[in-house]
Amino acid sequence: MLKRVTINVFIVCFLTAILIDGLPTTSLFHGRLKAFIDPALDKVGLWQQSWQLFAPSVEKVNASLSATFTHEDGRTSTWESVDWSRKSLLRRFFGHREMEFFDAVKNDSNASAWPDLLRYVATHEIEDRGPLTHVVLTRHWNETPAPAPGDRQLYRSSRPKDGRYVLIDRKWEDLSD
Amino acid sequence: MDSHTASLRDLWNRFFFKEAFQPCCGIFRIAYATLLLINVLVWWPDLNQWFGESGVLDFASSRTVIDADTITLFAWLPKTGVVLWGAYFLLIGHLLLLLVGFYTRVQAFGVFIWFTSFQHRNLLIFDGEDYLFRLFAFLLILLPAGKYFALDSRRESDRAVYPIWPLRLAQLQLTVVYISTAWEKLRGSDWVDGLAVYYASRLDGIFGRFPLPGVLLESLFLMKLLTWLVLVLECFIPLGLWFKETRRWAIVSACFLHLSLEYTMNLFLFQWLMLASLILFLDRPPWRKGALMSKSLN
Repeated sequence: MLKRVTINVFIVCFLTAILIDGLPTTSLFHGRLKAFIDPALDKVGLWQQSWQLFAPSVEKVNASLSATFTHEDGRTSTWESVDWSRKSLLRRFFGHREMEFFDAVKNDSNASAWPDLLRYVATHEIEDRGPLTHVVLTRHWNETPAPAPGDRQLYRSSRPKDGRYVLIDRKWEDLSD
Repeated sequence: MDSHTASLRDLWNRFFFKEAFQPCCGIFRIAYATLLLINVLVWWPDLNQWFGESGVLDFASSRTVIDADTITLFAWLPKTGVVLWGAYFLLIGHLLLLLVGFYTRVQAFGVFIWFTSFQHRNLLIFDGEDYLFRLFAFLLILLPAGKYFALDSRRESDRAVYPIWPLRLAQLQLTVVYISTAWEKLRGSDWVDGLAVYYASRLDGIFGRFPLPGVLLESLFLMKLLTWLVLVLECFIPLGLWFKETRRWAIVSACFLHLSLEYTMNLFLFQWLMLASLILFLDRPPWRKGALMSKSLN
């Protein structure tokens, strides 16, 4: 009897949690419920958030990152994140984590990860490994325009990117500030 | 107690506490462990880059890009390469033993703990499919997954039955994924206006896996039709899976949807995980169905 009661309580708790956390926020009250149970779900590793999967809007921007490192003697080294549209099927499959990482790290919400990224690129990705004095991290993007009625030729994305925004422009020694 | 309460209680008990033969749990365990093993093995060449202290995100920075309430075992372990590789091989070991069904619940628990710890160590490299892998690892602790097609089940009867509530929870979790994504899509103008496939097909890297006829990518009319077809299927599948009369069509629709997405988009293992989780809705293995059919024909 006690076992059945325990299982019933567990089922109710689990279902309540997945319904509150897994479905889109429908009201202020639902939002507050999500915020209320979020710490507990985070702790036990059962958080999920709403399953957006290209919704409610599809991303309309193709973005990439580039960095320019200035060396002590004035020379510069540049680095660009991978252009996945030019990579083979296998490279894209095995590079899935890299694709995910750069897709996430380019966002302002992950700005705290940029100094670590630049340090990693400076040590592993550029050929010239001398002491550095300055670094510039830039985000580039193309926005997919909405199709106009009667368009005969629909837009196709391509590099180079139209938009450009400098994320970090500072002395190498101040990178962590 | 009035009759309504009694019938509701009956309904609840029949839905969650019926005892049933559930070979789908064993098949799902094998498919799940195979997919997660592939997922985890792909980390191998870049393990230090993603999770090491000299990688793209050291431990301190990784805590700034994730909710502070999340827990990872790496917080308490020495931040050395040996420990990282040790944890990695432990996860692979748990997965291999889960695959063959040896002390299945223990392995599922190990997979859940370590996979969650890796996810919480560098969330920036994980996405929806990994969240679903994590949730299914938890559900595998509860499912009778080691009772069928497993080393654990050597001494079990061929027709062993078990309470169905863990299977119901896994089925409900999958249903929430489908309902949530359909609901989110209905809230956005891109899907309702029929432009979502057009925008998705312009995403570098993600779209364009295998060749597609040019006319498909250049015809706004066809792209609108495809957008609405995805919407209709995603609304139908989570409902259709629950009724015996429509289940077959829902599974066929889901297979069509996920295989089409697998053909056109680079989403790693997500479509295969969704296909594998549909196994949870099969009453009995397809080959047994075939055997029963041929028996009845004879």
